[in-house]
Amino acid sequence: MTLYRFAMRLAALAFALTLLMLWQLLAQSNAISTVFFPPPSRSLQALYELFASGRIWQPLAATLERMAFGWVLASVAGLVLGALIGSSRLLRAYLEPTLEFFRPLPASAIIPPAILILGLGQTMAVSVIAFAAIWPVLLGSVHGFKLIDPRLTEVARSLEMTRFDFLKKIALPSALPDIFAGLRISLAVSLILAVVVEMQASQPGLGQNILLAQRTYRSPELYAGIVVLGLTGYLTNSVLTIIENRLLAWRQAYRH
Amino acid sequence: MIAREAGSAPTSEANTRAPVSQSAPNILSLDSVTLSYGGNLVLDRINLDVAKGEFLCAVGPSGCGKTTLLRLLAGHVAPSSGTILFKGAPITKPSRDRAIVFQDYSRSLLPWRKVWANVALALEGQGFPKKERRERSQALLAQMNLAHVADHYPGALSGGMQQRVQIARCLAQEPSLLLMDEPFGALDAITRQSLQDEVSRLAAEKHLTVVFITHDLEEAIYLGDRVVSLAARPGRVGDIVQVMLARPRNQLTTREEPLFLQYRHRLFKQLEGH
Amino acid sequence: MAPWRGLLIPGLLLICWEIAARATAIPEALSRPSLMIEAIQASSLNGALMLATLQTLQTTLLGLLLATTLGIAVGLLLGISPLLNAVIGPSVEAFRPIPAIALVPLALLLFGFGISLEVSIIAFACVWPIIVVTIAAVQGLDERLSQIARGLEFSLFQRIIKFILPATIGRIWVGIRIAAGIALIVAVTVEIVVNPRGLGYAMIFAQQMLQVDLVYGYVVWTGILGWLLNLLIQLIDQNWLSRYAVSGR
Repeated sequence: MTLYRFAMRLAALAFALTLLMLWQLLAQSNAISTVFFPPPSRSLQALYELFASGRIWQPLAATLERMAFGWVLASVAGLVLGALIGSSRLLRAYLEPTLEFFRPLPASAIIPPAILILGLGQTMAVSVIAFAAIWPVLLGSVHGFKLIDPRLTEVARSLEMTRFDFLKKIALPSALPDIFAGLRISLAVSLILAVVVEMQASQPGLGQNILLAQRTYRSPELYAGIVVLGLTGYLTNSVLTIIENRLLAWRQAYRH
Repeated sequence: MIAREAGSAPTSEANTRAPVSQSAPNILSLDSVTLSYGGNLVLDRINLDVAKGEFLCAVGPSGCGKTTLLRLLAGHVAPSSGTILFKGAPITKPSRDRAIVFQDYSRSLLPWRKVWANVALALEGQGFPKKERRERSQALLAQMNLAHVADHYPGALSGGMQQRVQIARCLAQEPSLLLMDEPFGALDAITRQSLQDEVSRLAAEKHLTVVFITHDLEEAIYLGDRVVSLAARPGRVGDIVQVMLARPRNQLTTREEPLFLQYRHRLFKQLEGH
Repeated sequence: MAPWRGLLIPGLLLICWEIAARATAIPEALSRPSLMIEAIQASSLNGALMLATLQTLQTTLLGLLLATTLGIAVGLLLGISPLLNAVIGPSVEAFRPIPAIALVPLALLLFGFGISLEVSIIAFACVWPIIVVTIAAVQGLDERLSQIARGLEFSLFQRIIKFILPATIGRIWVGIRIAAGIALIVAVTVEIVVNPRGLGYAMIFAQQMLQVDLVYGYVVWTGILGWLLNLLIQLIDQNWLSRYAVSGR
C-alpha cells in the first residue's frame, strides 16, 4: 500500500472517530437527548454485554436460520425455474409478463395473506422470506440464460453437444454472473424480510430484540442491535462475495 | 479434379493440380445451391467441388454471401434449393467432422475455462477419460506453440493467440473438413502473416481439407491451391483460379513471384468488375 | 408481439382458482378472485381504498424526493472531491449494510407514529442507489469538461449547475429509477410492521379483523399499484429523460 493510500485510510478512520467523539461529548453534556442519542460508549457497552453474556446468540441464530432456509429455498427454486424459463423462448413469451408484474410487488404484502393461511409460526416466516427472495434470483437467472452468446450456441451445435451438456457446460457458466447478482440481492432481501417478519409476528430474533429495546426505551441496546444487524448483512454479503470471486475467477483475466 | 462453374469465365490454367493426386475423390460437392432469405437472393446456383486434401480459398466483396456459404457447408443453415454433398451424403445439420473457425475468436471461446480446457471441450463426450483429454489437449497446444499459455484464461491472451486456441479446438475435433470464416480479419498484419503460415503448415501436416473465406485477395492466393472469386448480390461463382505456386510458400518470396502477381492481377480485375 | 400470450397463464390460473373455491375444494383462508374484487369495490366506494392509497403514495414520493436531494448532494460532494471521498466516504459507506427496516425502531423512538417515521425510512433505503450512481457518474465525466470549466473560470457552484449536473443527469436518473422501485416496497413494509396508515396498515388491519377477502383485495391492488408506477417510470424514461440525457455517459 502506498503512503498516500495509507494516509487516506488513517484520515478516514480519524474522521469517523472524531464524529463519534463529538457525539459522545454532546451526549455526555446533555446537549442532545440521551434517550434518543445515547453516548456511543453506552451503546458499545451494550454491544459488548450482548456478546459477553451470550444473550446475542439465540436471537442471532434464530434470524440467521430463518434467513438461510428462506434464501436457500428461494435460490434453488429461482435458479431451476430461471434456467428453464430463460432458455426457452416459448416459456418466456408466456411467462415474462407475469414475472414483470411480480417484480415491483412489495414482497412484505404477502405477509397478511400468509398469516391467514399459515398462522404465525416458522413455516409462515420461511415461506414469506422465500417468496420475497425468489424474485431477484429468478429474474437474474432468466436474464442470464436468455443472453447466452449465440456464437457459443453455434459452437455447441458444431460439436454436436447434447442439450444437457450444453446447459451444464455453456449455459450455466455463462449465466453465473447474472445469477450471482440475483443471489446477492436475494440475500439482502432475505435479511430484511426476516427482520420484518420478526417484528410483525413477534418471533424471537434480532428484529424482535430491537423492537423490544425501543418499546422499553433502552436505546443503547437499540443501537447495539442495529449494529449487529448491519454486521450480519455485511458479513453474509462478504461470504457470498468470496464464493463468487472463487467461482468467477476467470473474470480477472478480462480486467485489462 | 475440375471445378464446374456457373458463368462463362474459363479456368485458363491447366487442369492438373500440383499437390494432390488426381484420383482423390471430392469431399464436398455443391450442385446448384441457392439460398434466399427474406425475399433476397443471397446465393445463386453455386456449383463447386472440393477435393480431399485441397486448400480452397474463396474471396469476394462484402455482401457476396461468403459467410453464408460457409455456414451452409457447416450445416448451420440449409439451402433453399440445390444439394450439398459431404462425403457423398447430404448435409442436414452441423457435424463434428466439419469444424468451423469463426472470425470473432473472443466470442467463440469459453471465457470461464482455461485454454487447455477450451481445447478439451472438443474431446468431451467422445469417451476419453479426463486425464487423456488433458494430455491430448496439451499435445495439440504444444504442436501449435501454445503450451506456455495452457493454464491461462482466454481473456488474458492476445487476439492472435485466442484465434490460435480456437483453431486448436477445431483441430482437436479431428475433422475431415476445416472451414475458416475470415479467421484473421480482426488481427494485425504481422500476426496475420504468422498465422497464415501456421495454418498452411497444419493443413499440410494433418492432410486437412480446408475451405477458407477471406476478403484479402493476396491472402487467398498465398494460402490456396485454388481460389474461387465470388460476385456479389446475388452471390455466385465468378472465377476459379488454379494456383500453381510451389509449396511450402514464403511470405516474402512467394508474394514476389510473377505468377503470384499474375493471379493477383486477374482476380483483382474480377473483383473490380463485380 | 401477441400480448394475449402473457395473460394466458395467469388468466387460466385465476379461473381455476375461482372454480376450485366455489366448489369449496380449497380452504376459506384462500378466498377467491370474485370475492376479492367485491371487497375492493366496497372499499373504494367508502373511500377507504383511496385514502390508504394516497397515504402510501404521499410517503413514497416524499421519501423519494428526500432521498434524491440528499443522494445527489452527497454523491456530488464525494464524486467531485476524491479527497472527501477518501476521508468521509468510508463513514458514509458504513451505514450501507444496515437494512432500512432495522432503523424502524429508532425512527419510531425519534418520531413516533406518522409520516416522518415512514419518510425517513424510505429516504434511508432509497438514498444508496442514488449516491452510488451519482458518484460513478461524476467520476466518469470526461476530464475535458472540467478543464474547459476551469479555463472559463467558473466557480464550483457554476460548474456544478452548468456542466456536471447536465452531463450526469442521465446516469443519475437510472439510480432514481431503481430508488423509485424500492420506495413503494419500503413504504408498504413500514406500514405493515408499525405505521398505522396507508395500504400496508389496511392489509394488516383487515387480516387482524379476519376480513379475508379484503386482505387479498388489498394485496392485489398494491401489486397493481406497483406495476402502474413501474409503467409510469418507464414512460417517463422513454419519452422524456432518455432523449435529454444524450451522452453524459
